[in-house]
Amino acid sequence: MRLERGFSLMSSPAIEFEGVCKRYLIRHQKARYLKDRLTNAIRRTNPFGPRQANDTVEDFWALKDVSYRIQPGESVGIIGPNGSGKSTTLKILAGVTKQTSGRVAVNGKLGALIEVGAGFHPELSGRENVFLNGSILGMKKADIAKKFDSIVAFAEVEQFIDTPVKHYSSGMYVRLGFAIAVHNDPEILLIDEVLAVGDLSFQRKCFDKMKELKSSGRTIVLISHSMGQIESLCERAIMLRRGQLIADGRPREVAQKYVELADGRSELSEHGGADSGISITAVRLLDEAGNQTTRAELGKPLTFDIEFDARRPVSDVLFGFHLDRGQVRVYDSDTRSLGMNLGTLTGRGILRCEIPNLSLMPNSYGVQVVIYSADERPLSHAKYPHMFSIFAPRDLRRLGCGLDDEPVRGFVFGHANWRKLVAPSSKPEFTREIN
Amino acid sequence: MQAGLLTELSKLPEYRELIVNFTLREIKAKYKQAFLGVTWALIQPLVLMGMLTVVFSYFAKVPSDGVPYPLFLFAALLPWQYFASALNRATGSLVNQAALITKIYFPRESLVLASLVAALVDFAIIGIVYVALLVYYQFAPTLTWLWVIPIFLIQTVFTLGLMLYLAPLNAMYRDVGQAIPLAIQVWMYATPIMYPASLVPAAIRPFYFLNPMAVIIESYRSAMLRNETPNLAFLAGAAALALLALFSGYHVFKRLETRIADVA
Repeated sequence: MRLERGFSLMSSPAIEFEGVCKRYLIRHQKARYLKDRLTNAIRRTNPFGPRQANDTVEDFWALKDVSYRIQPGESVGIIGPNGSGKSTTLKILAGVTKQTSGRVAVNGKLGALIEVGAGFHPELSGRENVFLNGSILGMKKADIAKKFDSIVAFAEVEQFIDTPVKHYSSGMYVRLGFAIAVHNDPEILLIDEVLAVGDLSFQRKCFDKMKELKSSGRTIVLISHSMGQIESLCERAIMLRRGQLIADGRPREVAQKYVELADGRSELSEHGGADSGISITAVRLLDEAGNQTTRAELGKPLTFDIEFDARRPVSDVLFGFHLDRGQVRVYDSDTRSLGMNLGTLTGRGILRCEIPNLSLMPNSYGVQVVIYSADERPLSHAKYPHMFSIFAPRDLRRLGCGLDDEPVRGFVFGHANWRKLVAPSSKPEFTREIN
Repeated sequence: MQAGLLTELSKLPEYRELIVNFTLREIKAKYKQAFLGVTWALIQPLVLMGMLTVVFSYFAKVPSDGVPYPLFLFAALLPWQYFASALNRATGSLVNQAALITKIYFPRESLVLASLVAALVDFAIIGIVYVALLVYYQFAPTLTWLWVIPIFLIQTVFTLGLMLYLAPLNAMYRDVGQAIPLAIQVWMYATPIMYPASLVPAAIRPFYFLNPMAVIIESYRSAMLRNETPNLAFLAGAAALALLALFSGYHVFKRLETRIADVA
């Protein structure tokens, strides 16, 4: 069995995309049945029949004219929001599907690490699955036998290797899948967000293994939502959005763009029409030097500037300020509750909002600002679904995967003092102290 | 871009291990948690044989070419079950592996071939029972039995050809999966399995033998039970159809192959 496609030439790039397009035909439900195919076919031959009333096929372009080259030994992260074409890219690279037009060249033995364990059969033992999965990945039986012990040791499933994998925990499942894939010695390793699963210590181990493969000169393509993973593993990032390549460069620079663009144009909307008199023109996050930024360190003060334009003098308005993560509101503040009277606003101005000690967990956050009239009618509304991301400082690296930007599920990081006390022998008493 | 069938066949040894592993998976997984294990491969046809013998031989008194009905029945039923189980397995072979197909590249033919091999393994197991039956009825093989080899080859080529159609078509249209068990049942009655071909009225016999499975099954009976050379004209026709099925099936498979991951 052969996974290599094309020929290995010293000078040729490991991966080459040239004007690649991929079209999916979206059939609206019914047309998937043979019946509709047949009735459509009959209608087409019948000149008196209605013209293909059931033809509900729609084009969807998952990739639109995407071109890039990846050189051997490069480690590249492909990032983009859902529906940006990441998975399609991966499927084309893995040879699972074909591009509609354009040219794709893959030079070198490809190892795909896509949803590890996809080839496992639940009724078979771990041992049997290692051989099965290995051969699906293109390994020879003798080769698998030689690496068997190392695979099992890496996956830490020695005790359960003869148990059917249906009894495995999801962590064991993933560990075994990953272990098999990395033992396949690929020249080009495709990785699809595997680090998102498994426990922390194993994530570390996978990550170290990928670093090891990288330092031994393998080409790595990591497809991920997480800019943090890409920044720490890749020296180059390619960003896709709605099927198009919109950024290609150093991860830091692309990260900036990702946060700005991740389905996140700002939405400014006016309420009450032109006679509302006041509108928000921009909202910005500032760094310590007062420049606009899209990243802030956990625990540091957050400073926002809200630019407004009062086309005529307005009195007694109040500003509401919210931080969101996805659909969840994380933080609320407004000028009235805090007893601030803005008086009469005229012309252009800036309202600064400083949040001194809100320790948000590393993740991506959105901002909403609303101006209300004195009787609490909304006058202007600005929404930035992904305005900035919080990253963890060095001394808190163990959060998440231990990577700077790794998204964390929690919302607020609580500083707490932890102390170990000696329990009194008489009666149990729970003593703790929290700041 | 589309490699020919012959060059593709020459690559078979390369992914032999994959086919073996897929086959092992199918067989092992099927019997793993069953207390009786592989015995089930014997129980099913034996029960069927007992049932059909009672109904057709004892109740309905269907003639059986002058040999004991179980022998008569099994000579046709076993190859038929090999055919039917191969088609059934092939129908699900790609669809059931959608998780794998949409994520990893490997030669997709290997899944279809593994279905064929798995059906062959069941066939081989029950074949032992047939040998036991022959010993029990003291039925000695003759030289005409050698015809079984080419007949079996023709049957296998025909079966594989149909499998190559069914696997990707079911991935595109699930109607295929619904229709196949029914079609197999209808086909079974259109083939001389429970009754001898001699019961078919002479007027429709030329049409009856347009069915390649009727030719194949009847040929097994000629060679094994009646010590006759099979009707070579019919057999040649069946062979031609089998080759046509294989080449066109392979063509269809290769054409649909890359689209499977998009629709599965």
